[in-house]
Amino acid sequence: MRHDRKYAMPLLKRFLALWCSGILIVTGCSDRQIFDETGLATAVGYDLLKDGKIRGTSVMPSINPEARNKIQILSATGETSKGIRDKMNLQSDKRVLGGQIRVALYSENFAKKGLGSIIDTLYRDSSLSSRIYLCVFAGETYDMLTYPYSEQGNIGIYLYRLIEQNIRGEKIPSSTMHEFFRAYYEKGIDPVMPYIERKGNELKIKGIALFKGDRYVSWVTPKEAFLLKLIHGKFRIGSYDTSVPVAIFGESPKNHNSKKDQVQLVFDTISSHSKIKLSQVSPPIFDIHVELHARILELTIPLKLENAKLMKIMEHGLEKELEKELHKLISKLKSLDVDPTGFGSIYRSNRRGMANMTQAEWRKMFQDATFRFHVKSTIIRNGVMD
Amino acid sequence: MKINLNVTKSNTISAFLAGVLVHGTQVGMGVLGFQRIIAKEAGHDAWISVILAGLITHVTVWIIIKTLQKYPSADLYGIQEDVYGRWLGTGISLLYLTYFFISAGVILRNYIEVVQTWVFPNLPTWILSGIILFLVYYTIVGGIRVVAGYTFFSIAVTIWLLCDLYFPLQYAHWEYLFPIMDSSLENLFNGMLAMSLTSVGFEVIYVVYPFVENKDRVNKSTQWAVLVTYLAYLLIMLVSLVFFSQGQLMRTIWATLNLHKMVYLPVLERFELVVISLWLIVILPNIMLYLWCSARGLKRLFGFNLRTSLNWIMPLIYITSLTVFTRLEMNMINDWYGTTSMYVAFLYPYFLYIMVLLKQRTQPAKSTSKGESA
Amino acid sequence: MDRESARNWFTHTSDLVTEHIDEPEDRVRLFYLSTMADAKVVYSELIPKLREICLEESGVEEIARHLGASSSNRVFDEGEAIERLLSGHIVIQVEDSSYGLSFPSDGTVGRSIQAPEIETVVLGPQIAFVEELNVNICIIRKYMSTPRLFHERLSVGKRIPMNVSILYLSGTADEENVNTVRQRIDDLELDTTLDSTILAQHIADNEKSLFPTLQQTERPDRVIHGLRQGQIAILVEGSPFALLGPTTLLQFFQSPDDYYLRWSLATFNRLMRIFAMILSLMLTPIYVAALTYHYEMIPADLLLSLAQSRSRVPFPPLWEAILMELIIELLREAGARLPTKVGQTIGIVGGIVIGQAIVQAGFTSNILIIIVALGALSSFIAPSYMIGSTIRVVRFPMILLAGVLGALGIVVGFSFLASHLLRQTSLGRPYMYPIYPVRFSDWKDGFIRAPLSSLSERLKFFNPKRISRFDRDKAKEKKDIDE
Repeated sequence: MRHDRKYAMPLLKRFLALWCSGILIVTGCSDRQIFDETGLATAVGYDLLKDGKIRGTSVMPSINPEARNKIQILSATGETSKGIRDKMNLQSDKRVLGGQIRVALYSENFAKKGLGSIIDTLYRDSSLSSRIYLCVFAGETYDMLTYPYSEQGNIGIYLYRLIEQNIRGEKIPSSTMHEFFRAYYEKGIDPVMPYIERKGNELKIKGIALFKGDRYVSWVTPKEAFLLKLIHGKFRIGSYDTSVPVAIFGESPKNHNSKKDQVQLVFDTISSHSKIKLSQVSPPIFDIHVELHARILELTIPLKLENAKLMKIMEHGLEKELEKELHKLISKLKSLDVDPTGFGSIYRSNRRGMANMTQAEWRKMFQDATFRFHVKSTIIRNGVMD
Repeated sequence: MKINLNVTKSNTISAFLAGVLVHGTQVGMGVLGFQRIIAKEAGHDAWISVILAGLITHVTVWIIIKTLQKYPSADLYGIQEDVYGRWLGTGISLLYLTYFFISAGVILRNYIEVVQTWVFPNLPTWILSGIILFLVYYTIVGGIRVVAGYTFFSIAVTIWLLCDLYFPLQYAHWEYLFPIMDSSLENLFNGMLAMSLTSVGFEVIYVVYPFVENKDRVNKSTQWAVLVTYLAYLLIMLVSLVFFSQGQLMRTIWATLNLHKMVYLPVLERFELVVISLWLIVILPNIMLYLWCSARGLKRLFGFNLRTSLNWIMPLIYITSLTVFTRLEMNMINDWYGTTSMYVAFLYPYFLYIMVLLKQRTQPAKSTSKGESA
Repeated sequence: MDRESARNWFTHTSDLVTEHIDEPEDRVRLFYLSTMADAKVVYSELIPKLREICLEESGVEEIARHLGASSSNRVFDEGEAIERLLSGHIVIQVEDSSYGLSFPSDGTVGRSIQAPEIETVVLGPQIAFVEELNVNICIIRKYMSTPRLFHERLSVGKRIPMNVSILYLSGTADEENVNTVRQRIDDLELDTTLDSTILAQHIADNEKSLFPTLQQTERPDRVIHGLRQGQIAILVEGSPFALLGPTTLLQFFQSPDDYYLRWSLATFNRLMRIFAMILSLMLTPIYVAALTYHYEMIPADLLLSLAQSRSRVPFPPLWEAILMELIIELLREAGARLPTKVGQTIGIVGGIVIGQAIVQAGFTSNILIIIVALGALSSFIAPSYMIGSTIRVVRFPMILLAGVLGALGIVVGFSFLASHLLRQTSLGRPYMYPIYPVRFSDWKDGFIRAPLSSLSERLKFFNPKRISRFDRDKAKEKKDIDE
């Protein structure tokens, strides 16, 4: 045995040395993606052209110290997103890679035709993050990304922060790529995305784009988006403003300058949770219990809030107002035939043997369904002033 | 070949470490993508299948320990020779040894595939496989104690990955879990069978057993190890079920990695890359132990030196790992391996136990026979 | 020994002095090495005393009686006389007598005892070993007066023997460890200069490993602490560093400070050191890996600033990092070689001038400068100089691996390191103890430093014969509140 080893060792060592140098040579030139030699797209936009081709636009930070512009924009047309990327490489001194994409934008026209296939390729690509925000843009994304903004810096990062900030602030529902896919592959819920528009130099989230399957159908305002989340979700720091008739406080408007007879109420740090009960199976009846705690931030008439009765009235007013708005929203969703809140999943989760329920079945049931809202609100604080 | 082994004191491990070895061998490549396979059968009740598989594993491990405890200090190879006789015993032991070898190969190939899919598409297999096998060899020649130490290290540096599940939990939709027990019993059972690829690994105790110092506590520690394994599986499964919708899960091959895609820290994002890299530390004990077990088999059956056996096995597995497989072939191999391992690791122990009982009834155990030094 | 034989032994030894005390007769001779023995003893004590008696008639017994010599002063053969001469004795020889006399007189010069310079602590004793073995043992004995402190003197080297002392606390230290040390030193066959650092390499379990497996310390308090724990100390003549073994990796991250500070502070320090070591090993490789392969991992907030700082760098991240690490190593080595005052200047020149200029010249990104500096700083935190150097060297292969295989390379590196460390032993004891083999009860004086009252047991690692340090229950006995 000892003899064996003595013989084997130098051979083994020589083999190891050869092998190690092999590693250094071979891996040295494969798969390298050196940070400053790659074009790191931070945002991509896709438009549908008239001839059926897709135009992709990507925004990359320009880190060349001699360049005047801080960003570099590439655009190419093609049939697939990867084909577009190949064409972009022909225009760039750096290899265009997608690992740093933060936001993917789709033009409204494109979204109407259905995004399924193009997002599918995004999800398949392991180099892309699951936390990419997907959005619909009102107009052509090419125009939007190539617009020379003065204050936004890198438009990709800016958009990312814009959306992230609003999701954190619970102004719009979260819309990462993962969540889009989760909704897309789930039968009882339809995906949503932020709906973005540009007004001159400013970008803004106009609302929430509603999808039916992978097709964009319409959009709702942020206020309606708040209600969507109120139905099915939790708030910790939400905010909401509404108006109630002055009359309910038992006061006549003292100041005739205040428009109409309405009181504007602004609530913030709303925390809420909801409970959805399937009370009847066919046709489905949903009882939605929403409980919310809010702090009143602003109200447009000088009311003395020390009166407990007044608080009750205010709470009651808020409840009525919310219920009314919720009903309005539901009928709008029904008319659009989309279910972004996921009543379908709740229906499935409350009934046995529905695991194989198809989307079409659910859409039919959704039209027949009745929704009963029970909002209970508590105003817990009212600032430092009574 | 002597049936019982005398292991020198400097080569023994404690019962605690035996548990560590069992846990370390159980957790491996399966965890990265077992969700889809189970959910395919059991739907959103897949977590119940996990619990069922856990229960079965507990019983199986208990039976294995029972079998081993019929002898003072024997391993699988010794028992099989005792039960089946010289020729048949050697034959079956060779099969089992091959199973250990194939297990190591399947794990190695699966890991290489993950790395090539997620991180380095152009990294040649021969490099990655060579690096992994070098690490394996370097550790195994340190002896079972070093292997056990490495396994302990591997658990210690990867257990915190469970905490990362907090991030995907923020996106949880709990109604995905309901209604509970919606799947039929048959589906749940099929889901449990599908768990076998993820569950196996405990059978290494068959070979490790003689090296354990305080054998009366092996049962306890291995049961704990299995419990910890399944609690981790259950946790991962539950998080996956509420994080993915069913349709999405069916399209996700490595769901655990997708879970980690949601993790981000202020200075580091994309934790799946960290997980894939760290997973090397998780699978190394698997490969080490399986190869160690098959090398032990060669030593026990044919009296080779352990080092010589390793010198034969390492090049063999290296060459095996270089075979090119497509994703579809990999799926097939995994399915086939899953079925085989179910028979070898889950069913065979019961059979062997019965055989041992019969054997010892007809003829008193050779428990007093003198052992062979390891 | 007569003059002729002395001349034979000491040809070319100009410092041999031979005094013929009774000149004409030349019966009584006195030899000493002027460089080793104290001439004062010869001329103001021995010679005057010898002149008091009648030298012509007295035999050696009489002289011995007169000089107050005892049996240990007798020398019977030449070899012994020469040995004693070489260690500074004064040898008196009377013609035709059966033995000679030798008197110890140490006239050698040595360094005076000073404060430690390499392992400095803020609190605690400020005393360090010197080059003289006897002084060093004197220091230890002084602060540890017990007959149970066993001291064995061995000599190493066949032709030029060196004195090596093994110290251990009998009844505490494991006999097996003592045997291992004795065996290893006895088995040595060497013909080189011997310092404790060299001895440590000769008797180490794995000489090829980067990691030290014996502690080297210049602090007597550390040695005493080790002895009390059951460690064995090895001291070498001519070396101000004592060796302590067996030891564990974790012990290299422990400083005597840890016991002088309160336990919470000490625990914080210990955890910080381990954290610093990991940081030092990982920071630069992570930078290299992320910038070479995993650009996806860089968060949005860092993306633009990192891109800007990298934009003018001509090298790939791997070479950039290796260049910077090399510069730091150059600075360190230059600082170590230069006199203290110049060394400070080098620090300023290196740190500020080069650092500033190199970023402005676009050779590296300033983020890398921060990372490399942090890594270097962290490696200097290690209380043992040796482990600090090891970590600095281990960093280079780690960076290379990160540059070749990215994050996977870092993991491969750590994996290899883990296997390697698990395989190491120190005097046959596991090096990674108490992490592996797992002994949770010893973690309280390992990763952390628990309050002294809870450290009632010696570390089981040293396999001490007496586990208990003090009776815990007795120490805990306290008066009731109202008593």
